[in-house]
Amino acid sequence: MFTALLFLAASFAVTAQDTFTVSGQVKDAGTGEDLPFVTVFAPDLDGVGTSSNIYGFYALNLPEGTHRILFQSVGYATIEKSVTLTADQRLDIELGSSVEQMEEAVVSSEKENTNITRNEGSLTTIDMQEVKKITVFGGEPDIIKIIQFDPAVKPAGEGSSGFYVRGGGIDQNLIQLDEAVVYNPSHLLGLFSVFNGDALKGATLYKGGMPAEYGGRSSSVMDVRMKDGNSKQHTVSGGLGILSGRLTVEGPLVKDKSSFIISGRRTWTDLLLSAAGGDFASSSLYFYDLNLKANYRINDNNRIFASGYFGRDQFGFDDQFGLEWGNATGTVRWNHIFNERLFSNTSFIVSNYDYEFGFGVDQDRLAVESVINDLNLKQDFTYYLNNDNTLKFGLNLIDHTIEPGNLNAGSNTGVSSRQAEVKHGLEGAVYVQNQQNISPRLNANYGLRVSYFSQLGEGTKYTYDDNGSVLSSETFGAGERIADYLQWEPRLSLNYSLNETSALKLGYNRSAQYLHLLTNATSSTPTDTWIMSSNNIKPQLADQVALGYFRNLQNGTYEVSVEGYYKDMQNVIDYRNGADVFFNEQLEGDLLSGDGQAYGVEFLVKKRKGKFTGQFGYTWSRSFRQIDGINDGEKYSARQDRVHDLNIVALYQLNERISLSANFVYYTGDAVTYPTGRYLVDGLVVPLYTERNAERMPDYHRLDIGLTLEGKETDRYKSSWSFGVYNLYGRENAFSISFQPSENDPLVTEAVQLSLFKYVPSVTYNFAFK
Amino acid sequence: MRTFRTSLLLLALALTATSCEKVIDLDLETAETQTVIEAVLDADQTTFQVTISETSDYFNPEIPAAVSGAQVTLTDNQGGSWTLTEAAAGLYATEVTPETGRTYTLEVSTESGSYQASSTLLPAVELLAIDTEFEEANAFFDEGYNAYLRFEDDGAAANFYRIKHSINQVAQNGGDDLQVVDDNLFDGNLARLPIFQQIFNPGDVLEVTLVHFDEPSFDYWSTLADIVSAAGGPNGAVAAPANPDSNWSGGALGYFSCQASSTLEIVLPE
Repeated sequence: MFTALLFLAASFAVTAQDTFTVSGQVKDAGTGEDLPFVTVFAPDLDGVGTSSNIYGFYALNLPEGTHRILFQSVGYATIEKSVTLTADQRLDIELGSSVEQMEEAVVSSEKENTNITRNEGSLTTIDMQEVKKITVFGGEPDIIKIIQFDPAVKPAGEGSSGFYVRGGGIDQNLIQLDEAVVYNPSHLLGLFSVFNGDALKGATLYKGGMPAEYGGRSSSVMDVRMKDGNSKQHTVSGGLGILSGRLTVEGPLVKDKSSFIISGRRTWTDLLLSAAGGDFASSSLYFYDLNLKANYRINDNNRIFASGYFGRDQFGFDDQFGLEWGNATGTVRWNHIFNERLFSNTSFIVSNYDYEFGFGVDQDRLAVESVINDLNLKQDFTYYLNNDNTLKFGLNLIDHTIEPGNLNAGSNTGVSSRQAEVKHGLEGAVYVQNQQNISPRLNANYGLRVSYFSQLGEGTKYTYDDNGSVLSSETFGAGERIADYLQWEPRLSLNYSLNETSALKLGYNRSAQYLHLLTNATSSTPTDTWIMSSNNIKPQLADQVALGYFRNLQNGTYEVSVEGYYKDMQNVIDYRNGADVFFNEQLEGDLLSGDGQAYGVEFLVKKRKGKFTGQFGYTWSRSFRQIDGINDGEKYSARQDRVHDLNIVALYQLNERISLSANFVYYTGDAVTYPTGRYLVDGLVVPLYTERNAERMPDYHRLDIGLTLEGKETDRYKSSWSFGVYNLYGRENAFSISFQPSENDPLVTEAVQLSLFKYVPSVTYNFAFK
Repeated sequence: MRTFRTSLLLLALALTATSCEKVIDLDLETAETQTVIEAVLDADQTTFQVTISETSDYFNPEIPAAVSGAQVTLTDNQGGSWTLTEAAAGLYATEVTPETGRTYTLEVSTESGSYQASSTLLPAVELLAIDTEFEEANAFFDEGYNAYLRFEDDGAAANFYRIKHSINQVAQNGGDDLQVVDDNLFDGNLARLPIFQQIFNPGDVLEVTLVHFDEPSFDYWSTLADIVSAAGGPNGAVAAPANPDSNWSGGALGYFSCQASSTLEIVLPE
């Protein structure tokens, strides 16, 4: 396939002989950070333009002669350069913040319509500057909580870091930090995400029309990128809040060649508890995380990056009970520019997640641990064929190891120590995609991803009958193939500009998923189980079609869009009633699989300019499942089948120092199963259930407000105070509704609603030294 | 795992003093009435009883209506057959001497349908001792004794147990007291099983019963436990609650279970 492509590329190249390539790096003038997604175009040549990749690299092919080139990015002043081309030319650019005075900055007469002209499917890019302006729970700038304001995204529940994208499940989102998969994005049961805002550059969420370079999850991709570290000067920044503190040190190692960043965060909930005394005094309850990154520019054509993340949550109560979990990831990348047109990135990535919980000490101790480990090799090429075609192709190979459960039992427990069978799998993919300008009005991004998964020994292959009982078992040796799957994943997105300010966008993608999260509870917990595809568990597949209309009003002040989608899911997984998850070697026999459908319409209005900015989003959507063996095989609402979903974010810059924020959320209550009758067994009142998820939790709504006060800025020091209140009007949203016998008479039953957070205030002090 | 999830929830709550719990009014749909049949063939009893009743509205606090006039027959796999007679409204009984190792089949016919279930009577597993350990007060419990059951599990077969207990002659029978376990984690060992979520006071008279029954009985009681514990219901221990796995064919609720048990009583030290 690649050989064919290169031939194709070569033939194009011949026809494009009289053009030259301008290429280079786009960076932030203040920090030296690479700037991705910067639009680079020649305004005098109709339709000639490109955008920088995630490493800030761009390449633009222009005919011989003198041209104006504009560099444009939201939040930055547009820069205009004039180049005279007689040969290929390198042009590195630094963009300054739009509020700073830049010598080179020009007041652009060009309209800012990149959201109209750009074609990358349904995506949302999030800049950390935006995240920091909006107050969320606990006053932490949290990228996952901000992404939940997107009309396509729904939070998994009060305070949760899990989310659903367009009717898909929590585990169908590929969440990656510098390309490394993060298996559990939650700290403190989801109240905080693992993403420390100080260490991040930004994130991109692909909701539909996913480019072929991404795969492995069927619903969405959340691509989070760490900062590279300030390459201009050393800075120390941080924040102190009620619940946590953050500290970041960054700076050049060798000026303009190499930089580093170290960012740490820790909560002091345990110190607060200990100070408060009482029952929780001797408990440990905290999390910490650490982001590290360094990069070195060997020369103009070679650059290496090394980044790592370590995070851990620790809960313990005396010797009674302990629970800890954490993610660790590491990425080593090599950017290589073969020539002005061919850019390469090679990454070697390690992802690890583990948890352990236990009771008692010494010979009374009973503890369970589970580990997931991935080794991942990625090779990506970008080939700037000509101004109308940008090719990307590459491959990806992941070695998965899951230790589902290691039980360590003390001699006094009467329990035998054991290790559940370790699972091995190999996931591979090759892809090719082309971003093509078909006409000045129509551009397309089309591609194909071919993915492969192999369940490997050593291990046991079980087959099951319809009731989940074992029919046969067969033992396989190390490295032997137990089951194989190959999937073709076509991807397409089309962007048709109706005029300068409006466009139609169409996307289609098929995505396959080979790792699945089993969660039977409503809120995800650290001990949810990841399983691999096997001879019994087929890969999950999703096909999505999305069509959208995008329009800019008043010279880009307002962005309006309407997007509709339909998603068809295959091989979604659920438990058989009464399934036993722990130390069940025949767990796969307790799983059922079926189909799902999701569809909806998303409306979004954004105001991007002026003192008053913000967005208004409304989504009407449905999500269903049909699984033989559940609900008598009838179609039922998925838990996240929230029909109406409303998000409003408002920001007001009162003056240079004071900004105000408010956000309001409303959604239809989750689909749940309530009793429809009762009977007695052994003297207990037993609820009778008829239909799965036929009822609704009460509707959810909440208003948060925030105020940021910037301190007086000096050359060396900058500070700000953030104040916020989560759930300002104290809405008692139902976290759970349980049915219990009344205290006075066990025959009388009551519905009891638990609400978690009413008016949670936060105060944070942020600072930065240069 | 219910205990574990509850603990996690408590941890979350400990973080914020702003959580609150309240009883709410909820309009529930009403399902059509269904038949409930409950029957235990106890190895130590010679009177065998079956109760047949109907489901009622969820918030209706009255005792459910009895089903009278049913035909109830017990047979075993050795050719034995017994016909039960209605001793009181919805209560059917006969005299039978249970034999270990036999499989019993109960057939019930009512106006609403015919139902059948089978269960095998297994030998009792002797409860060897009850260990106790004094624990200081902690975040979840007051100070008091934990109690552990000691017994020999048979390594040759998969075994299923239910643990019942009473304190000072009062049977502990709330939803959270329902404790069933399989021997997956202690197959063939000298088992040491705690009585979950229960702390005993000095001087308490503790009576513990270890019930040994077959796999369908275990499946019923463990799936029942999922929905009757305090953590049950939407957003509780199980996201999608469903009716327990019954061994009745024909769509009846309830169960038929043969059970053999062993009991020990201790007085906790002062």
